[in-house]
Amino acid sequence: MDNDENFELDQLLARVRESAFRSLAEVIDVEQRLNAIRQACAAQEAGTVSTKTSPTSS
Amino acid sequence: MSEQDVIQDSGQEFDKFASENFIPVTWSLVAQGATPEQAADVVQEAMVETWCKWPHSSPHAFVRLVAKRKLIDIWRKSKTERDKHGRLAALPDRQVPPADEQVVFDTEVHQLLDLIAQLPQQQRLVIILKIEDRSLEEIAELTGQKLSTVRSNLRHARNKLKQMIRARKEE
Repeated sequence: MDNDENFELDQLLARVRESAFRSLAEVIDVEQRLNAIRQACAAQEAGTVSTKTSPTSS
Repeated sequence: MSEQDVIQDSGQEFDKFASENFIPVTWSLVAQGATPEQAADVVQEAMVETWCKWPHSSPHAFVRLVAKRKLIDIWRKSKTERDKHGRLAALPDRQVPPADEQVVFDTEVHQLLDLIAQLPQQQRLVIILKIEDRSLEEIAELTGQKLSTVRSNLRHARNKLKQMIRARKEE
């Protein structure tokens, strides 16, 4: 009985993972989000590089 | 290896991290009550902060911590607004977000989220991460709980879920 319930629960959690991730990927434009992150990171990087190089560039 | 190569490798590594973790981290916040839009916004910001600290010794825990803090800030501001509106009385109170702002999960996901919401916070957190298929060691790292505490919380959470599912079947 308990083994059956454990098996059922494991199956349920696995189905929920697959279904929930798929649903989220349908309503969130992940690629657009990632592009925004890349752009913000590139801007940060440019800021960091310019700060890092400024002492030697003068 | 030049400094530029190191930056490029580091960038690719971070890009992989962000791609693989965007949906799982968003899921964990939605499962704790955020709307998908709120969750995606704070995860996006948290990813950028993670990049600022890259390479990080524990990026998975860091990005979740930052995202959760940002979400709590949003909830606090939202509550303050509601309280302010309540005091003014003339202004209508904020409504529950319309259904189309909620993610359209299937019935089984909604039912499980309803059950998870009834668990104590630490057990809830552990089972949400278990749904992501995280190992006990990973859950311990992500939640800051001892491994033995994670085991105990997971066992209690599973037992309560089984009990609630059984009760629901018997209804």
